[in-house]
Formats: sequence, structure tokens, C-alpha cells
Amino acid sequence: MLYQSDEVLLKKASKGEEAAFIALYERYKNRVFSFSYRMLNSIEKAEDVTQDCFLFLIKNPSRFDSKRSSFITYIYSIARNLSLKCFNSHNYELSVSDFEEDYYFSPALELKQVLDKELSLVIEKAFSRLPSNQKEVLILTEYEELSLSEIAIITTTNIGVVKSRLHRGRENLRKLLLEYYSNNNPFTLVRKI
Amino acid sequence: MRKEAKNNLDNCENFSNLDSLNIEEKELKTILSSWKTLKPSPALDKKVLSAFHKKQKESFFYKFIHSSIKVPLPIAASILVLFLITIWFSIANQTSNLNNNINYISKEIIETRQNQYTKISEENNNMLSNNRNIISKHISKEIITITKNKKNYSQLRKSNSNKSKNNIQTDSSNVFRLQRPYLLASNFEKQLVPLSNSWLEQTLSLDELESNYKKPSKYHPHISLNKQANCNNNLVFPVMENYNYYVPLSISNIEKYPVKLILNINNKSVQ
Repeated sequence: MLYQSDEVLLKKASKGEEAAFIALYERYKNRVFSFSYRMLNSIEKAEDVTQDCFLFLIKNPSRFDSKRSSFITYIYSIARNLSLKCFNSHNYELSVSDFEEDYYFSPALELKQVLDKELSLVIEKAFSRLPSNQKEVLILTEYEELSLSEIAIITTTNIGVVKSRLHRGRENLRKLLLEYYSNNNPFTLVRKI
Repeated sequence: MRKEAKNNLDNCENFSNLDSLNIEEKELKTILSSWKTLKPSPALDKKVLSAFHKKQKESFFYKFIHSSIKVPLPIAASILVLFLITIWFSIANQTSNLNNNINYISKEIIETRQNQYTKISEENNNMLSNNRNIISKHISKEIITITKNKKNYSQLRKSNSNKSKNNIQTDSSNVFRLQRPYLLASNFEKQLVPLSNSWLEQTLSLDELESNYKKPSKYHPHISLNKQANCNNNLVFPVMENYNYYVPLSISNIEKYPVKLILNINNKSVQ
């Protein structure tokens, strides 16, 4: 089951084969979850999006056309659409206050871990200030490590637009994280209150 | 030499810029890589699996009810327009058919009515002709009786002339009694019957009677039988010799009141 292609697994899962569905889910759940979490900054919402994404897959197996795109771009495009839908539907406001409390009041954490989590919090804040189109492109390149053509398929644009969005996103991120560039070693950063 | 030196300097600057860009990108990447996400909770696995099982247990009817299709707006609009056009045409055809049916039914009704009317008119004509025949027979009988009476009257007149002028007496034998006609149609309820010497002697057909009725002259006064018949059932009116008189015969009244027709000739009461 593990060596079967995504397309075969999808067909079997859509017919009701549980093993095929589990194999497909295990193959892509981390990617889908991490992407949706970075887009929405909420574990609950990211889990909902992940669940809906896999259910959509088995409900509409005929929509996937292997000639037009690869399975990974297809599943990312589903996750992206669901995330944007969730983001737009509830006047979604990105907040990181809950995470701050968790991070700074857990005594068991070591200093390095605290610093890592602090930096991740800073990056999360910086991403939350970016426009969604730049944000999604940056997440897909930096974290999901997809090519520009794949991102163009997922975002239903062309490569030129993806490049420009990527460039602007990086510039914006640099501006937002400028104070952390003073030293070349980001791991030595100290939170400025 | 100077140019080469300049080019070298420019190249050095470009390289330094590229290096700085690459360094910045690398720095950015290293910074971004520190943002690590949590792994999905095991509760999510259970949740997704239960949703999968729930989906598999869905009945065909539930799937059918909750199924949906996406149709592009132009296609949906064109389908809607076509649907409306077909409905409009069907309604128009139905109304035209209705009108045709109404026209057809009205025509049929008119034709049937016309047929009925023609049948009734034919029946009426037949009845009319039968009645005419019957009336003519009765009138001929009447004429015969009147001619007999006329002979008697002439004989009586001759005998009276021999008698004194003031001693004219009436005799019941001189009464011109019109037998009560029967079996008359309602069409001839009020018929003027010409009464004259010439008429008395010849048998007139009903058409001739009608033609005479249509041409009344002032010398031939019409006498209403309705009024006269109330006076002891005797119809008395003055009669001049050699004149034609039309005696109105109201059949209904004759049936009710048997009439005795009394003719006064030259203001002399002669019955």
C-alpha cells in the first residue's frame, strides 16, 4: 500500500478502502497541516482545514487530473482554497497572544528553546502582517519547498507573478525583521520589549 | 587602462552586491527556518477517520440530496433563457389551441343550431301546409253551406219583395252561421276571411285569402270579432250588396264563443 501512487490510493480511498485512505492521509497530513497552520496561525482551524481537505479529496476524486497537475499541487491548492475561505469567512484576525503565554511561562524550557520559540513568534508576527498572496507564496517556497511553476499552479497565476510576489514578500519580511539582522547569527537575538 | 580599471571596479561592486544579496537571503532563510510548526494532534487522526467512516455510511438518498454541481453563470443563464422561451412557446401554443377549440366549438354549436333551426322550420312548414289543407277543406265546407244559405236567402228575398216593405221579418233560416273552425294552427289565429257574393260562390284557397287580407280597402271595414262576439255571441254588422267584406275570425274567441254571423243588408236586419 505504501508504494502505490497517489492516484491509485485516491481511487481506492474514494471507493471506501480505509487502508488506502490512511496511507494517503499519512503521506500528506503533515504538509497540509503545517501549510494551513502557517496560513491561519491557529491549530484548531488548521486541523479543520486538514480534515476538510482529505474529505474533499475522497468526495471528488474525479476532479483530480494527473495530466494537468501533480497530486501534491492538487492537494496544496485544496488546502490553500480552504484556508483562504476560512480566513475570509469569519473576518479572521491573526493573534499570537495565546502562544506568547505558553512560550514564556513554561519553566521547563531551556534558554535556547525559549529563544527559538521567541524567534518563531517574531516570524509568525511578521508573516501575519504580510498580505495573504505574498504570505502564501513565501510559505510555499520557504517551508514547503515547492518550485515556482508548482506555486503558480497552486495559486492559479503565472511564474512572473509568483516571482514578483516572492520578491515583495521577502523585502517586506526583511523590513519587519530588520532589527534582527544586526548580528549575522539570528540565534543570539534577544527580544526587545 | 583607466577603462579597464573602471570595469574591474564595477565588476567588483556588482559581485559585492550579489554577495550581499545572497548573504541577506541566506540570513533570511536561516531566520525563517527557526519558525517550526507543531505536529497535528492524534485527535485529528481519529477525527478524520471518523469523518471518513461517516462519509462511507451515507445512504444513496443522502448523497443524492447533498450532491451539487457547478455550472458556469453564462451557461446557467442561457439554459434559464431557453427554459423560459420554451415555457412561453408552450403557453402560446396552448392559448392558440384553446382559441381554435373555442372557434371550432362555436362553429359546431352554430351549425347544430342552424340544423336544428332548419329542421324546426321544415317541421313548421310541414305543419303549416297540413293546417292549410285542413283549413281549406273546412272553408270549402263552409262555402258550401253558405252557398246553400244564399240560395235560400235569394228565395226569401224574392218572397219578401212581394210582401210589404215594412213587414220584413227575420227568419232564423236566413242566419249565416259560420261553423266553428277547428284544427287551426296558431299562425292563423287571427285571419281575415273575405265575405262577399263572389267569395260565397267560389272556393278560395288559403293563399288567396292571405292576399286579400294583405290588401284591405277602406270600403271593406274590418270588424273586430272580439268586441262583437261579446254581444250574445252574435256578430251583427251592416252589409251592402255587391261589396266585399272581410270578416275577422279570431279562432281563439270563436272557440270560446260560438259565433252567430248576422248580416244586415241595406240596413235591413236580415239574418
